[in-house]
Parts: sequence; C-alpha cells; structure tokens
Amino acid sequence: MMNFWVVGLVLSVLSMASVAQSQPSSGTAVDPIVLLQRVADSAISLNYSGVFVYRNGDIEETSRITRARLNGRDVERIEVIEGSAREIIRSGTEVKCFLPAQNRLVVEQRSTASGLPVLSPAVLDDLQQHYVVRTGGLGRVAGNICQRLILEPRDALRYAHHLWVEPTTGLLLKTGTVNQQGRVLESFTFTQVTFGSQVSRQQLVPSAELQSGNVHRIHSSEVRASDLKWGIENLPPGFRIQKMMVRRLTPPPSSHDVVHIVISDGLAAVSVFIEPEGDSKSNKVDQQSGAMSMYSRQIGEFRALVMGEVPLVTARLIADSIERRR
Amino acid sequence: MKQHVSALVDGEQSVGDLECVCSALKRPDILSDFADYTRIGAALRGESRLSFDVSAKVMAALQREPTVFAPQPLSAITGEHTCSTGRFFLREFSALAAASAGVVLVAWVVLSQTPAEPEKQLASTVIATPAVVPAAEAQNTLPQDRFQEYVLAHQTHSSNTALMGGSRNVRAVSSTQNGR
Repeated sequence: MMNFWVVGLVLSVLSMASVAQSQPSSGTAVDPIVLLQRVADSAISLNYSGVFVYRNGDIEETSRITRARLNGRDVERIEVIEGSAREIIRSGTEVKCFLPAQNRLVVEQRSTASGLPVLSPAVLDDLQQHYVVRTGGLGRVAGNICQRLILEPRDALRYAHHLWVEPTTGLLLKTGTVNQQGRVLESFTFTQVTFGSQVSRQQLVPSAELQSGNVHRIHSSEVRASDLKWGIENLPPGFRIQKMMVRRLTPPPSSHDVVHIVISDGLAAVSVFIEPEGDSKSNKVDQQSGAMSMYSRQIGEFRALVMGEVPLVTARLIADSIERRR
Repeated sequence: MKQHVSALVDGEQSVGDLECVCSALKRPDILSDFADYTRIGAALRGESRLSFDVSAKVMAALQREPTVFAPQPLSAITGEHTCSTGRFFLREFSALAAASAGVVLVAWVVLSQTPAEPEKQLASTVIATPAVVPAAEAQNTLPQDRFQEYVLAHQTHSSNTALMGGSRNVRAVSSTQNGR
C-alpha cells in the first residue's frame, strides 16, 4: 500500500515539475506542440480517476476510469456504469474485457510491453505535415479550466481532433473527432476527475464477474515484415506501418492465425486484420460508425478487414494497398 | 463565355474551367443565358414536365435550412481554394441555380461534371474533395463477438491510445455494437 502512494506521489511531482518547466509564462501564447507533447506524456505517467461520457452518433454512455502505476505496472480499469456492466482492465501487457451480455471474457496478451509509444519529436514533425496544430480558447470541463487544442487535417484522408487539455497535468478532459462537414462523430467528455494521490487503489480491483465467463484468450506477438506473406504498398500519404503481429486464439476454434498490422499517421490509427475466409464466407463489410470505419476486401481465399478512426475512403485506400506476396 | 455556359448545360464543360464558369454565372446576363440554354435543352429532349419554375420552392427550402456553425473550413486554413472541386463550389453553384428559373437539372449537370472516382483523386491529391458515405448505405456483417475482439485489439495496439488516453478502450464494449 505504501509503495503505491509513494509511486503515485513521485509521478505526480515529476509530472508537475515537467509541466512547470514547459509552462509558458503569463501572457505568453501556449505552444500547441509543447502542449501536445505534454498530453502524450501524461497519458502514460499520470495517475487519475474519473467519470466520462462517451458519445458515438446517437449512442451515449457513461463510464468510470481509473489509471495508476502499481508495482511497476500500468493498471487501468474502465467500467461502463450504464446498461450491462461491461468492464475492461489493462494491466501491463494484458487486457481483459468482460462482456456480461454474452458471458464472455476476452483476454488479450501482448508479447511486449511497448504498446504505448510516446510522441517522439520525429512523430510530432510528421504529424504537422498532415495536421495543422493550433490552440483555441479556454474552456471549462469537469470543473477544470482547459486549453483547447485543435488538429485540423490538411487533406480529406483524416479527421479533425478537438482536444481540451487540463494544462497543469496534460490530461485530456474532452475530445471530439470532427469530420470535414464539421459534424462531431465521436466525443469523450470527463464529468468528474481526480488526479495523483487522490486515486484509490481499491478502484483498480476488478469486479468478481471479471474472473468468470467463457474465456477467450488471445496471444499476439510481433513479427517482422519478412515473416509475413503480406505486404502493404502505396499507403495513403502520411500513413506508415507501426507494427506487424500474429494473433493466436487459445483454445483454437480453428487452426488459423490472424495477421494484425497497425498503421498510423501519428494520430489516427488503423488496424488491418487478415485471416483465411474459411468455409463460412461472410459478406463484405463497408461501414462507418461514428469515427470508426470498417472495410473488408477479399484477397484470394483470405479476407482483409481494415478498421480505424479514419474516413471510410482512407480505409478503402489502405485495403486496396494490401498485397499477397508470392 | 456563352460557349462555356452552353457546354456546361450540355455536360461537356471541362472540370478545370468550372470555377471560371461558376464565377461568370454571377452576372445577370450570363445567368439569363444559362436559364435559356437549360430550357432549350429541356425542350429539345422533350422534358416538358421539367419546364415549370421551381425556384420559389427551392429558395423557400434553403431558407428553412438551419444555419450550421461548423469549424473553419479546410480551405480557410490551408489557403487552398477548393471552389472547382469542393463543397464550396457545389454550395455556391446550387444557390445560383436556385435563383434562376427552371433549373432543377442544374444539380445533375454539376454532379455529372465532378470526377466519377473520388477515391483515385484522393490517392493522388493532397487536398481533395471529401467523400461522404451515408450511414444508411453502410452494411456490417461482421459477427458481434469478432467485432469486439478486433476493436479491443485495435485499441490495445494503437498509438493514439497513448495520446488520447485509455478511455478510448471503451469503444470495444460500447453499446453501439454490444446490442444491450
């Protein structure tokens, strides 16, 4: 217990010190890039707990999130507090997702802990080639004065992102994904939040239900491009392959693995899942739900599914760039 | 200019000159020519049912449209003028069209002038026309459990989770797909 508080305190102090260092003096314009960097840093270092509203089109749901570092591991718990009691716990390299309506517990295990890369200067530089990053006005979210940060895309291949950042911690308290018509496709808004030492360890304890259900265990391990028979050429401008993985379901309902390729432009993320079509051929997927687009493409006896927070046209372009190597 | 207007009505105007013709249509005499050519074209094609004047109804419909307070358009930020291919062009053109008589065909004329394959244009152009995909046309046949599994994997391995915070993981269990 003592370790938890000490770690929390140290992280909070370090976070505050870093903020104080980069905080512009009174009357000076806030550098949007510095602020963006602070957001990225706080996402992996800050202890916080709060309630947020997720809105996707007409759907609106309230959830509670708690994040802290425990015994050298990042632990994060999200419970949906409306409707069925869905819950997600991320602890180090493992993510558990409990879906009570289906009595299903999905456990995803990563082979590496490097799932959360920080925005490097190179990534920030790339980002600015495809987004105009600027600050907006001040706004109040969950009782905190926030600085608005706007990332406007330079083309039609990505969405705009409006971020409300609590300036002392760098925590995002509100985000909106906006399409070119100015319509907010998806938003996350904190209605209550506490930082640092006020976060209780008890809030990270999984519910009893999370220990039950039909367990679907998935192990994903990173592979090299040369290990795969798949290539992605001519990606849309600004998008690059971040990692390639093979996903394995245990116990296997079938004998095939799923190739998972993660692509990003530094902000928008897209996943490509490639698997054998199997006996039960499914129809083509061509869907947009809020900010999430999904598009599938048949490649021989395989099906590639592209999924990500990009316009559908971008998902299609990425799907078209997938090639089966000889 | 009359030749360009005539070409526009006949659907033979090149896309590159559309902006120029669009600007010229602000002049009353050119607009009058445009309306005349549209009527002549309709008469030649025997489209008598399109000869009535619908401008009053169109203008009334435009009046009823809500004012949208949307974020600054992309063109204003980038300095790129998208009149020839973008939404601005269509909006301005539609307003002009509504002001002229018997021009219900105009929207179709304009649409026929726009590139037929926006995806290819996007691939080769940095600033491009947005492709709007109506949700009603969307289809999703992915099984629910597979969908949730994929969204969870997507969120777990996405770099934007690092920037945007872990709350994005809630997408994996959102009632949008959970069917509660």
